[in-house]
Amino acid sequence: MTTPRDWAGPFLEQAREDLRAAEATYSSNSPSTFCMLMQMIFEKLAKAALARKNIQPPKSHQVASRLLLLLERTPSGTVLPGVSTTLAFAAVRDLENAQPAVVNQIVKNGGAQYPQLEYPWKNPNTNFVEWPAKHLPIARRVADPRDPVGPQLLKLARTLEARFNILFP
Amino acid sequence: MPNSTFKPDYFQTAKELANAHRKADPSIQLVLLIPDPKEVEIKLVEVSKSAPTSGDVFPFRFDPRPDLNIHFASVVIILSPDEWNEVQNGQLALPPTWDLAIKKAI
Repeated sequence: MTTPRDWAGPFLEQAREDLRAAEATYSSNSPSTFCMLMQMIFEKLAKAALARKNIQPPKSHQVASRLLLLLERTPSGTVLPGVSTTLAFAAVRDLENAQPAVVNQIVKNGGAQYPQLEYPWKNPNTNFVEWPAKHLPIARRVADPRDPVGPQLLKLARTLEARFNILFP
Repeated sequence: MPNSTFKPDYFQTAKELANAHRKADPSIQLVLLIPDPKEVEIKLVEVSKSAPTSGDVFPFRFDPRPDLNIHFASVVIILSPDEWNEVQNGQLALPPTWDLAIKKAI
């Protein structure tokens, strides 16, 4: 019989492959694809972490924010210096809010159309169709050398991947 | 008419990038420039209390952005204070072309 913990290893392994792709992608100057992969990585790391705690990983894409809550409550010493990871944590939440299924749910519930990962959208203010490579705010930040959000996201993901067994035994 | 004599300032651009990063992450304790003798690429090592300890070194590369007045490619390595100590002790290595002997704090 499969237990929730059995999902931890497979989610972690898939996150590792996505991470390798993200590392290759950022240097090819594809910031929106990098962001899409980073969202996928944090979602899978979150599902792996929940599974390690014997919680069945949900189908939902709104799970990376739960990982952040777990991390904020996990004694991790200097592996993760707690509240001072604000910049990267905020970016992870931005990525989650830009996941297309999450955006669709927000719109269905009457919320405003938010720029999203992966697919174009119609800007309700201008009626122009926009697309992530040019208009997604977090992707624009990742491509800006003045903004360290890209390196910080990658550093956080690499740390969670490398130290996963310490953080989530 | 384009200004053919325009020559962007390598060290000034490096300082501007370092300052922008400090503004975005006030927990940065130290920014080191590893000067490129050809002034093609700005290499920055940034030690930040907000950086988690991954135990490895990964350079993050940016293209030049003339539209933002950044005329040089740049590469950033973010280290936690623990990792910086390991680099100084020789336990963690920077990439081969990153020579700390010529570093400049900026």
